[in-house]
Amino acid sequence: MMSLFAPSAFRKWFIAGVILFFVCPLLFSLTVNRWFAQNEASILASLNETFRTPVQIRRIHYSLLKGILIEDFVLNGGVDPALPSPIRVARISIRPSLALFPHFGFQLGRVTFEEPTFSLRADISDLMKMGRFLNTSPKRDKRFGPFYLRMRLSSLTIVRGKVTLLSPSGRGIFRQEFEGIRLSLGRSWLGGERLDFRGHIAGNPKASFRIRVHLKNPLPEATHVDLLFDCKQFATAYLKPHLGNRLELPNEDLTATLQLRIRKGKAFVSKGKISFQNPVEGKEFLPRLVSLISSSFRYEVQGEGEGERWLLKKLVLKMAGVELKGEGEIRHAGDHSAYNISISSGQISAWRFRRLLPELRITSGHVRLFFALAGTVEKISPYLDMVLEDCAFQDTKRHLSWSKVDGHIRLSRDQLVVDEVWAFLNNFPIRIRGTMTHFQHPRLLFEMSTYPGQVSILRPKNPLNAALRFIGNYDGKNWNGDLWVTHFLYRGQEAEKWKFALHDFTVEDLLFHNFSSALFEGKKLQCQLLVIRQEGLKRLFDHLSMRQASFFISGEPSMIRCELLEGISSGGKLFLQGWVDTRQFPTLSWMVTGSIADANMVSLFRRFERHYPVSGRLFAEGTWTQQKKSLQFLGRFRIAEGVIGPTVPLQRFADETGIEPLRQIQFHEFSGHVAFHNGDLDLDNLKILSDQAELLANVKVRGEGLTGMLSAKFPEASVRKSSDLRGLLHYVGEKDWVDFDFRVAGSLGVPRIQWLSGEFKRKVEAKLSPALRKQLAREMEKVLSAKGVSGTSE
Amino acid sequence: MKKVLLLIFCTLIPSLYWGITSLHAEQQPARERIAQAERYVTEGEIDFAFMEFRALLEEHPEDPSAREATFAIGEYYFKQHSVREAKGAFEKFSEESTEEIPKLIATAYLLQCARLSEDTSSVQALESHLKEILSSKKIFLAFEENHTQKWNSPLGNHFEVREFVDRMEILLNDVPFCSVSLP
Repeated sequence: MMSLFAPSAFRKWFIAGVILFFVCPLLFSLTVNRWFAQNEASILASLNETFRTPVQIRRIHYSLLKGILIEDFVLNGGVDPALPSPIRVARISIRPSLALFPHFGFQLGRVTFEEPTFSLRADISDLMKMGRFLNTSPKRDKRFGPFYLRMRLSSLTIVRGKVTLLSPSGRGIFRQEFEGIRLSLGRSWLGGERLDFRGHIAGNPKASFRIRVHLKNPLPEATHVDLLFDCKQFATAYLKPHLGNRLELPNEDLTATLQLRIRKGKAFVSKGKISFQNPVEGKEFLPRLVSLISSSFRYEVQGEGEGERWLLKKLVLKMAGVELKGEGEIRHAGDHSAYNISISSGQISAWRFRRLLPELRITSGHVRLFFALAGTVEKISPYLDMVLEDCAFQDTKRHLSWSKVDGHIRLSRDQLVVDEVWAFLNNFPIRIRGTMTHFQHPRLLFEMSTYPGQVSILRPKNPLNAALRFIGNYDGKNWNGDLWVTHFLYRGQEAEKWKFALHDFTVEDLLFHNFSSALFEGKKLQCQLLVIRQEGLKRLFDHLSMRQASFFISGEPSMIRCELLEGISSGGKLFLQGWVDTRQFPTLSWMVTGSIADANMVSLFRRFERHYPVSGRLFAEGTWTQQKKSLQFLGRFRIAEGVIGPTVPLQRFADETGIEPLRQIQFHEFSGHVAFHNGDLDLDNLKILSDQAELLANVKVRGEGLTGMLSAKFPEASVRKSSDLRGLLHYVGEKDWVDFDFRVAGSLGVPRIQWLSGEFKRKVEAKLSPALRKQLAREMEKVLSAKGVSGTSE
Repeated sequence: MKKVLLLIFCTLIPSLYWGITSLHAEQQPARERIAQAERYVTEGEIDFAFMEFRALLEEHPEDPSAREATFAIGEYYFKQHSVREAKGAFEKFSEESTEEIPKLIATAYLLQCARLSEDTSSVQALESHLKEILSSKKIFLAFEENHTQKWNSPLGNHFEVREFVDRMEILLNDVPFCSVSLP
């Protein structure tokens, strides 16, 4: 060991080492260069195949210090004929490890490029640090300094690539394939270095975007990243594929311009604008709202954050002439992102509101909006707070006028809450409160009241002085509440003359579209009347309810239709339906069709404090019609299993005629048709059928007079044996039914009667002599005198 | 006393004689005029009969036969189509007469006059009046269709009033003259 460090030995080994140090690499270099020189043709062929275009290389050197040195690298045109300029690289120095450069993947922030195919357009005449351009840390540049790729890359085009935006946790939020990507590197006008990234969404050349990153500026604090997102078909290319199933979007192209600037450190500033290319107001509310907002929607956000929590310190939204200011917070937890953004002030202009709701024209006042957004990416919950201050609206479509509107309306994703809105609707004071969940299960409370005489439709003639008051609620399907119409004696006097009230009435099958429109148009109204303060009706009905009624109400007086009014009276069911035509108000035309079934006659008469000697179960139906001053009634009735009598006149008539059934007629059916028109009464087909008598009559009553036909049949056995009629029957040989047919006229007090020919009369004429006939006529005239006939009339 | 009785006797006797003779002197022309008029009617000279009736009415307006003369004048004017004069005569007759049939026929004449003069309100009123008359009468027709009453007017016209249950027909010389029906 000591001999090794001897001067002579050291000198020998030192010289040998120096020789080896210089000679071996030279030998190795000569070997490799010779190998490259021998295989230059195969390398060029490989490069040609790689770039799919002719490649020329003047000379290739290999150096242990510089790696592979390529001189005069020329790429004649690219695969893309749109990019014809040849690439000429004067000098390329490549380490062997960078030979995989065309196949690497890299990550830019949260954007990952997977296996891109590059097309180089570069003039490599300058030097630029390229090796780790994605990491702007100067320290890393220094640390990896020996691995620099020395070149000046003016543009790098990725002709096709797949870009994935990643969430902080590394899992993708969504994947989108882009095309026509151009990645350019260069110096910015600030003097720093800049990366410009452009492209468009695959299959949609108009959906372009641009990302510009300032890598380094002369001033360290000015270093920032600008993210410019400029998408011309924002809605169709971006929003609909990802949010279309959760958000109703208009079928129009949105142009979105978003700018995000992240300064050095945690702070960031973002500005943006979203607008329609061709703003067209949609018919529906939401597209119209989106159109209105996006046509001038601008935002500005300032905040800071890192990792999972980002704070929005300043949030300014300018839309629809409204400037909204607010703040918020965004949190990330794994795949979950939560938003809580509140915007606390704003005021919408009248003309903007008019564009939003053209048929509802705001004429004065202020509408202040408070907007909040909360939830997650999957479920965003907007929240809108609307304050109305002394507003006035004109509904030109429905001729409604809202004035002095003050109130507070809250709109969230799930429900609409009307805290309390006071307004005058066509000069009717109205108060609305309630909630509406999912717009399908609303619960709204309405209160409306008028001053006496304020409702013109309730004021046909002086001094009618009626007032209307309504308190009701609506639950999405049914209306229920209370309605009062009160008529005061005279103006200024509080004494009530009459009052009409509906309590707890319900309305079913009513779709709530817009409460400023016709509420009940084409729908059915169901009411239940529990309190009727009109004495006559109160006596008439045990229970009265209204159902399936339709009211056609618009701004002008029109048709009011009540399809069915159902009541129970005297054990029977009563149905009424009809309409009232108010178009020629105060002249009313109306029609009421009613029927009553199985009502007790005695109980029914008792309700009217009357007593008629008729009992039985009443079935009747009829139609009342009032056309101008013409009143008409058409109806029919049937009384089943009842009794007529006994009465004093009938008793007397039975005594005088000997027809015993007349004392008390027990009938199976008493029916007829009734027609009344302008004071004329026609009773047709009046029929009484019983075991003891059959009566048939047709009578016309005009004033106090009447005309008609009366036919009566009695069994011979029902005639009293001691009577003259029985003797006559025996004399003429009548043993079956006795028929009498009369033509009647005159009046009930002064009857005019003609005995028409019948079976019994023919027998009498055949059997009796003229003298006996005259005597019989006198007797019959005596019996059928005014006393008897008038008695039957009762 | 004798003088007083003599004075009374002398006063009363001439007065009674004058009174009786003057009464006999006025009744006699009325009967004659009636008789003369009836003769003219029988002969078919109704113009002369009219003159007699008119003279009777002028000379003896308070005479019971004056009502008969009024009716005859009305008939004559109606026949001559002097509706206004006929109407006045029949109205006067209706006011004064108490007989049922002539009064009913006079009302029928008035109805015809109103129809000829196209006086709608009068037509309606007279029809209503006839209906009231009709409906105010009880009637029972057992073995015949109607009650018939006949009457000859002073001008020799033969009227027949047929009363049914619900209507009334008046025939003038067996030709329908007027009819009214209950509603």
